[in-house]
Amino acid sequence: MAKCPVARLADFKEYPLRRVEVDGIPICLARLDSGEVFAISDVCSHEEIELSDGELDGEDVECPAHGSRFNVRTGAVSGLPASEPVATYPVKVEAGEIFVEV
Amino acid sequence: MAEATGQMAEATGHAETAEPVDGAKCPFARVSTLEDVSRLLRSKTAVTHSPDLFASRASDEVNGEINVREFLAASMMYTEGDSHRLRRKLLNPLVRADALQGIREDVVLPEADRLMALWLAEPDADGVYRLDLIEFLERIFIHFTARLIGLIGMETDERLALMRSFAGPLAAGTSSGFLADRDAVNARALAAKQRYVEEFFTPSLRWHREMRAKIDAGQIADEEVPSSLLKLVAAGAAPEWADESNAIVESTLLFAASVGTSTQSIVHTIDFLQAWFAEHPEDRQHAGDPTFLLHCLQETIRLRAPFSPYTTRLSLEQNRLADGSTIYPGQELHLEWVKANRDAVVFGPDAVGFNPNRATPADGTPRYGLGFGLGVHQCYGLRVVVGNDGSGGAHVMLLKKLMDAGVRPDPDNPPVGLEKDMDKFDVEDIPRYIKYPAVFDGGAR
Repeated sequence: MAKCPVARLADFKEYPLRRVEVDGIPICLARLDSGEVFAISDVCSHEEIELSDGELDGEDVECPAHGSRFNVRTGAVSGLPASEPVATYPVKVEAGEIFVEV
Repeated sequence: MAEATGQMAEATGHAETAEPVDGAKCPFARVSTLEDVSRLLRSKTAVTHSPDLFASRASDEVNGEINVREFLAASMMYTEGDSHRLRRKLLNPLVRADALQGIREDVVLPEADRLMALWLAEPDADGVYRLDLIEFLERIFIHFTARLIGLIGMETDERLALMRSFAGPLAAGTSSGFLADRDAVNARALAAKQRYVEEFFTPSLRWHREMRAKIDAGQIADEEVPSSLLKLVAAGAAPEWADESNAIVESTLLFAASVGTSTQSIVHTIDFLQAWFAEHPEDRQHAGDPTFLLHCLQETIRLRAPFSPYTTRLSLEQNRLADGSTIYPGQELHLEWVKANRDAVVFGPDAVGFNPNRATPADGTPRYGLGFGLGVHQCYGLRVVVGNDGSGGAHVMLLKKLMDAGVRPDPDNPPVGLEKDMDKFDVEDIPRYIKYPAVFDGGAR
């Protein structure tokens, strides 16, 4: 797995979701109120919509199109209409910089 | 597909031969397999929504133009791209699990209990307990829709009855392209819309604007005003809603879609169940089982929702359908849910019929098939009906209440439906009930 720098914690001052790409893979970064950062696929498994354009509600990302929800820790579906989980990626934060392993 | 080819040949006067038919000259093409409808609706480039097509404007310019202007075009449901995306994103939180649970527990179910206690308190002179299911369900779902839209002044039975009187005409106004006597349908719809605006929309928006001013002035907290469409409108959340006439259309389409289809889905389920229990008496023991009732509701939605035989799209690209026929850019498409949802490969050899014990399709297709549509315009109310976790929402609970009370169609008073343009219903008649008298074995419990 490659460990890639993708963003800084300071990038999340206004919005808790952020889209990044690593080797062409679209990734949605989510920063929780607790300060933890998680990375999941930025493609909703229901209709191929960008999850980073949605909302963070607790530990769930809600798709902007149909409201499918995914837990950012596990990628599991937490709300219909999606039925398939999304991929998750390991995250490390070092000195304010966010790294994702893909 | 055979239907599409036949339709094209008929429309262009071509006999069916081995020569390719110039589909671009055909008025419309039918798309009626699950595979084709799914592929086209999920594509971001193949098709686009067009209110003109849904309103059958080409065949009736006067009425079609009215439907488009007054009931369809300004809604997010008929727009594409960023305009649709922004509004859908803004409205999605209104149907989150916590919001739905609040409306269900605080409003919908208590109102159902209240109305059943009131209307089934005493039997008729012949000793039979009766109520009209359409009126009963519309009254309940009006509460739900009023919350969603943010309407105020719904506290009295008189106001609810007035609001309910708009439900049928507004629903008919949004889909008059499928109905007979469009002149009369639209006249009633326009009159209902005008009164709705005067009596409910305008005072409610005024109230929300006053609340917004108080929020902005720090006099009240934002959380003190429940989330709703009109709260968003008052906050200027989407540029399209700055034009009040657009916000009115957004609200009337939400109203028609949620009250009308919710009511019809429950009544049709009860209708199907009577025949099912007659043939499968062993299933009567499941009449109060929420999982069984959810499967029944999903079967109804698969076979009949959204209570029109097809929806329309404008083709943007040349595409080949599963049967080898071709659709062309600029061509009107009729996406036939009713046929696609009877796919025997997906739903089994008895796919044309109602069977709540049907196995869940192995390929991941939901039990309701395309009943909620697919793609970016998939029905906003999906989570309302099937629940955030798929275990069912208010509709299943209402069905359970009715089944527990022993509901069945009134054998002495047949239901009444709207008169439709039957040329468009070639698989089966899909009644749009305006009266559905029912009897109850036990009265209010």
